[in-house]
Amino acid sequence: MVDVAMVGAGQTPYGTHPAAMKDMWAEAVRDCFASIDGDLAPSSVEEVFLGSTAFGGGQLGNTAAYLAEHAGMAGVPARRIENACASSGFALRDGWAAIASGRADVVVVGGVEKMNDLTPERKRFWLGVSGDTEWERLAGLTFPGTYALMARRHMHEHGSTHDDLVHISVKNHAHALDNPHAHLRKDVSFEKAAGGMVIADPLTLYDCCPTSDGAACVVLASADVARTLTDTPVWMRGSGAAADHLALHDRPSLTTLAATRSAASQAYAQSGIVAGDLDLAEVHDCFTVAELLATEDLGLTDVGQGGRYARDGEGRRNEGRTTVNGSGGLKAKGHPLGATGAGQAVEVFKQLRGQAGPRQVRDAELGLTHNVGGSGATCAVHVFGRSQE
Amino acid sequence: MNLAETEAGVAVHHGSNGVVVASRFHVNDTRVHAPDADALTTVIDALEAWHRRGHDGDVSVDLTEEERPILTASLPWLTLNEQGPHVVHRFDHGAAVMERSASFDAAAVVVDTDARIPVDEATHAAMQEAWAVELSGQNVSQGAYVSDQVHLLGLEARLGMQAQAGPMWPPRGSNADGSLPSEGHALSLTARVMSWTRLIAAGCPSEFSIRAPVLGGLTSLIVAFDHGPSGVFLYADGHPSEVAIDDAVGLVVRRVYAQDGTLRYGRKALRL
Repeated sequence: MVDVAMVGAGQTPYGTHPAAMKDMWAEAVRDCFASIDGDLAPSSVEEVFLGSTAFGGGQLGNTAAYLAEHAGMAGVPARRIENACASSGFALRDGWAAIASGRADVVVVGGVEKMNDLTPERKRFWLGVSGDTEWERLAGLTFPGTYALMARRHMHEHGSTHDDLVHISVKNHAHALDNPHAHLRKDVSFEKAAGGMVIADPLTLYDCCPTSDGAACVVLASADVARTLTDTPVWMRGSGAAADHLALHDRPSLTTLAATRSAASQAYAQSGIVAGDLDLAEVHDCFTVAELLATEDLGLTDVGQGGRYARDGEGRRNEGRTTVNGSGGLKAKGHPLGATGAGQAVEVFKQLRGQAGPRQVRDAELGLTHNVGGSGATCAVHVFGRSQE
Repeated sequence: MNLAETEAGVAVHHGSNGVVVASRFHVNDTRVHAPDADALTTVIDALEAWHRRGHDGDVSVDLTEEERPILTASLPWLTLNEQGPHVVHRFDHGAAVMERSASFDAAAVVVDTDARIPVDEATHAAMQEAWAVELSGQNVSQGAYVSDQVHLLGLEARLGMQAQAGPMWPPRGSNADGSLPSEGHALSLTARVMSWTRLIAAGCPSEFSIRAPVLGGLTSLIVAFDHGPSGVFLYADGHPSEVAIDDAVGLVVRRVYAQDGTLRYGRKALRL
């Protein structure tokens, strides 16, 4: 297999963006190519892998060709990859595979979502169609509901509490204060987060990520080409992906995401590391309980210990062994569904090159991205390193 | 006839000639349907109450064309027979399953005060209005589109709780090993709560956007059946006063939502 490196990364700010989808994507591509040390034009890449749910349906078909054209890549083979919120995590894996297999030397991987120009009704429709529409949805469940079921069950089985979830919310909001691209840059006190309006009991407003507009883009290159473009590539050391039952009611456990466990174990084996080696992890915290479960499923703590891990502040930047969601995570950085996985890679790129400014994780050598689709039907995990091996 | 007992969400009286059920919900002294119930679900409630006492066989029921597939999918043990020895009587917010020869006076049916659930008049009116709007041919459901074909194909599983071998529920296109699905059996209509949540109206799926504000959101439960599978269900007729993990629940047939001017029914949960 050919070794694969990230040589450039960029994104738009996340939030309620004034631009259209195509313009956000073009902005992320420009930001990404500007970060490449050497000369590379968008038109010279060989393929485009674009993650997006095409939220709103405005350009549901041929989304990638449409967007490639708007970012100086007309004529480059492009495809949209849709796996709900894990769309660009899987785009990253497909881009990695294209290079690792020797089929291509330079590809663009990214994601984009425009969510906040829809009416509330249309937004709710699109937010709900990535779950099990025939059974779960008609039982009243949207994603806040499915994650609330997991949270209550974890509390029942392992004694975690809502206060543990509040610690995660407060941490990620604090991390986002140092991130100029974050959707929610505001200090949130424990008392405020603990007293939030209930959305899906036991989850409150402060347990839920926002719906964000945003785009993110990275350029991947083979080892030989990467060395011609930069002296400081970020190496993709491991790629894992897995799927699980779409509906929660088909899974043997409500308190673990089997797809995360499987994808992580593949990525760790390929990269030759264990969870304890990681300096930072950008994990999929669409809801605070999702981060709690991820810390267990990724092996950052033991099964049933996610609540204690959060309570003890082990994921705080530069405090515990591994900084968890140093960018602010989905909770505060924001969650433009199809862009989220690529955006996590953008953060790791900056961290491993020492370019994260005030949110820099000290001596960051190894980072991980964890991108989940829906309530765990799909998951992509990637391990990145400053060194090639 | 005073209906003092309650069973599966309705007031009930079991007699030697059959069973009578009626809605527990009352606006002042007037009997009304529960928020998710209607005349058809009440007939199904009556037949299920009758069946729980060990009865089955041929029954005569007057049904509309739209009601027939819902009732037959819900009650796979039932044989519809116009000349059957038992007859379903439909009356105002109630239904009875009686021996054909037995007399039945619907006007005499009263739900005992202790069995009644009082409903605020404005709330009841708002709910009925919401259903009327949702059912209107002019209304375009904002929900995910489940076609009539998909809905009808799923009725035996959705209403009759038919599982495939495993048991696996809802049924799939294949068994877990990829082989052709093998026929299983119907799941029991009781289960245990694994977890639950109450969603605010704004957090509910858009299928429920007209009615959820009236109810103050929706309560959903994930429950485990005795022999393996689990499922998610709305709580029936509003919210439970209390619910806890490991509680026993029963599953009743209720309205779920309307799409393209047609009511879609399903099973909803009630604490036992």
